[in-house]
Amino acid sequence: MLARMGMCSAGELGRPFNISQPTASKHLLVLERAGLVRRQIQGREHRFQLEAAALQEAQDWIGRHSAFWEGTLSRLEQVVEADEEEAGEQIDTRDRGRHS
Amino acid sequence: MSGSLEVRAARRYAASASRVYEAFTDRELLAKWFSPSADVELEVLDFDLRVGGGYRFGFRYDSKYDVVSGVFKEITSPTRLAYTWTWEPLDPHAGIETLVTVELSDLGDECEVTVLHERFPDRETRERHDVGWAGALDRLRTANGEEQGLERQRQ
Repeated sequence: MLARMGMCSAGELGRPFNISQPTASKHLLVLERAGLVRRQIQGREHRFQLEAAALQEAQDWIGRHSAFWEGTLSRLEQVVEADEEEAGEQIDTRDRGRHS
Repeated sequence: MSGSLEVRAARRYAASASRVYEAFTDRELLAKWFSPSADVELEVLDFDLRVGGGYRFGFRYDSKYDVVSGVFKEITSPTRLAYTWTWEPLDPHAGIETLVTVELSDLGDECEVTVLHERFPDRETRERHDVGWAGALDRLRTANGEEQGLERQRQ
């Protein structure tokens, strides 16, 4: 909901789920302490928004390093599975393929 | 989900564990394969293979050049290697210290390599209240624990 609507109050967030405002406030406090939502106080009204940057940064980190290791481990094959007599000298199979 | 953010990768090779271990620990061999694709060239800038020793790798791709560095934490031939991994500025992930653990299992004809790359909630992440997913999860757990503690006290 926060992702779709931007800023909401505790009451607005609880209503579709039949959760009372005090209960929603309690859950939001937990999320706020975790750094996943941010509270803005306007007069007597408290409104909440998602900390999208923290979530996005985590997702970027996972995507990048997952791709790094998948690619790197697949390239290891050509080095360790090279023929015994060739190991250490002509390891790069890409170059071999290109010149033949 | 644990408090840390992690990536795991595993693969089997038709080679001995000592051969695979050599590929991870010999700087000349590393330069031949240690990058995510053939287009990315690895330049081994430093490689001091001892516990407490450091390494620096430069990855060149087109006009881009990313540098990562770290310190060896565990060196056990031919089964285990652990080192910290921190991208240097101006990388988007610069300054985030992470840990890489490489485990090699000898399966007879094959060797299985498992890589665990993890971010962990460090003090800085916890202190910088608005940054860091790992720290956020940590705080979520702590906050939940406090809530449950309060519930129990009320009952």
